Amino acid sequence: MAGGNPQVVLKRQRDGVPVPEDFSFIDGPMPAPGPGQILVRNIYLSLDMFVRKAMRGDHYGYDILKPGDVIHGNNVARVIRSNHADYKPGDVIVVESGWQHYAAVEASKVVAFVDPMLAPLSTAVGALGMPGLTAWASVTHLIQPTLGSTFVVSAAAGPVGAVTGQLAKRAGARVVGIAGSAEKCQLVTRTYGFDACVNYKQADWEDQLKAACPDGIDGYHDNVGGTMLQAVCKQFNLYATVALCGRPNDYNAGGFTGIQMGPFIGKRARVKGLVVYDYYGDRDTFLSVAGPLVREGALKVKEDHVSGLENAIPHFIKLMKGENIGKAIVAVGPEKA
Amino acid sequence: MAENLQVQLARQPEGVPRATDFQVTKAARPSAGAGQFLIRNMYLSLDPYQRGAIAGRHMGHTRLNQGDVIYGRCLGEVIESKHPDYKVGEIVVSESGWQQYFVSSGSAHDEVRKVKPEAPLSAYLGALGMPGLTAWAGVEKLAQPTLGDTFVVSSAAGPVGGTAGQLAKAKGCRVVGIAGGDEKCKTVIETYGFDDCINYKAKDWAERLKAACPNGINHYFDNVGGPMLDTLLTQMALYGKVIMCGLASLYNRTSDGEFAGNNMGPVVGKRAQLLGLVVYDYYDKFPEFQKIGARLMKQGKLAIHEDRVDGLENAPTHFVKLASGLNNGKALVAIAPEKV
Repeated sequence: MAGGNPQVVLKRQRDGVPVPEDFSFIDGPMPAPGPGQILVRNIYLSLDMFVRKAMRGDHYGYDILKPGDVIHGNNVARVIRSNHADYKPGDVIVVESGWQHYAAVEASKVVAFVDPMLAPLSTAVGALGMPGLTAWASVTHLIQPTLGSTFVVSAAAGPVGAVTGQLAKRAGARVVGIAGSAEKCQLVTRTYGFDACVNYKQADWEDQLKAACPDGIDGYHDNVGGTMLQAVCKQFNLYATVALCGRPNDYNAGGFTGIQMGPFIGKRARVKGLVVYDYYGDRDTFLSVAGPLVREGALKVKEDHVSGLENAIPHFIKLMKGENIGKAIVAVGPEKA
Repeated sequence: MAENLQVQLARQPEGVPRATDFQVTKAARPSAGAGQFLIRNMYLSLDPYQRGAIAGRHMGHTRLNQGDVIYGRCLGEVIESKHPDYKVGEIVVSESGWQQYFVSSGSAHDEVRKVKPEAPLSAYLGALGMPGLTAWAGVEKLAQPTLGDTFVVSSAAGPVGGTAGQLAKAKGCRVVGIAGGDEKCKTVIETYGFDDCINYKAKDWAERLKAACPNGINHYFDNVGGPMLDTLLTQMALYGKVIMCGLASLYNRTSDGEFAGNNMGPVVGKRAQLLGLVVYDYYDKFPEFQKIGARLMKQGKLAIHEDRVDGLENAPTHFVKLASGLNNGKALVAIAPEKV
């Protein structure tokens, strides 16, 4: 079959931080939409941590990938052809269409319509996409910070952390980020406007966190889990609320880092699991709040773009090593129709 | 000279305590000085948390040294008083420690609480005491189950678990206990009236629990923590709540590294809520709870099951039994008769 559809496919399954040899960049067949399907052309591919465990079949609704399967991924995409009444050529959507240029997908793979007038298109998979919705759900539904409370966010330079902290700040909290380098911390305080940011790679980061949270911690949005969760708990105030949102170290390893619950009992902590899929129905409410803020530049977003699908591989590895800064995006094709 | 029998620490226990870690001694019986009152203890409450308290691992308790009286709550009668707020003949519960007589000034440290007896006196150390208040706070203030919810509780034969399950049952839940042995499960079902009880010592206990909770678990009142919590988390219904109340499975550990910790993955997947419960936060609610609890008892909705021994000198062996998970029901020592 003729090519014309560049793809990144799995070469082999293995645990640990991914390496280039786990992937192949190939020229795949141009797909044709079947009955009820739509053909999309991908514009921006979103790189997300959960994809690492989805590759392993360890994420809700994703089957384990076999060698030769296209890597999972959400895209901002344009509808090219449609055999479904709800979609017409020219529509811009967010869709689970994988690491490739073109995909023929069922309507069930469509995540959302995108209003191209709302904000830059790539934000539909970042600050106004799943990461932003996650942040909004955490702040408005799970943690609900009160005026003057102290709110801490880990992976603060990432797309979820950045929006979470900015929304908590708008809700009247003192916001402290935790991130993995001085450069990231600078982004967090100067661009995102957090009150403080602690670099956890410094040996005394726990002391720095304590100094940055002189009144203790009331809310913690946890993007990391593991030993950092255990350490941050030490500085909780009584009845602190925790939103558990991600565990990237566990995603790479495939195991888990155990948490001692004793200190959480002592703090009367309220630990809540957050799955963004529960809030898809609230997307319009979220966009009515965050859309204007992003458009006006009041909610800052930083994106880490690379061009060309073949660069998805090193960009994803960088993400899983925690070396990227900002929302990781691959520009796959042009925005225009 | 009048005596005061005491149980003191002989040496810090390692792992599961042994009777030889304790020493029974005779001190002189104290009397009430100015601003003090003297309590004659009738019942000593034995509780799992005391194991951690002895080692200084329980909040508000410093590690005991050899010769210190063991921490413990007693119910007794005021027999001498030079304190304006306490009268001879009043029944009180206090942090007296394991001894026959206790002199108090009514300080916050002694945690003296008067009891207005509307139920058997010993119940005020169990289902109507701190264990009962713990259960009530977990059910009414944190879990807040609704009609038809599935409510699971571990250490179900004990006073916290037994009371929690009965309160949830009184609120219209399907209640399933987890306990360590068939005899305990029999108590849980026949005396407490739970819908079912799973013996976790059976190899297939997790499958049995699943079969007993076909719609998933909406509430888990966790008295044990550890690996059992990991198993329960996988059986929660979406948005289920875990009341984190105790870590009995870890109390006998000799180092923090012995248990590698719980997996938070299912907490996220189940959108679960884990809520820490510390009963001290609810002390001001004691009168409210005791009124409700005594009423439920009269209505036959709150039964008690006690595991008692007579004589303070038997407290160490009874505590070892409790710490080994071999007791069935509320562990008590009858120190002296109610009437003398």
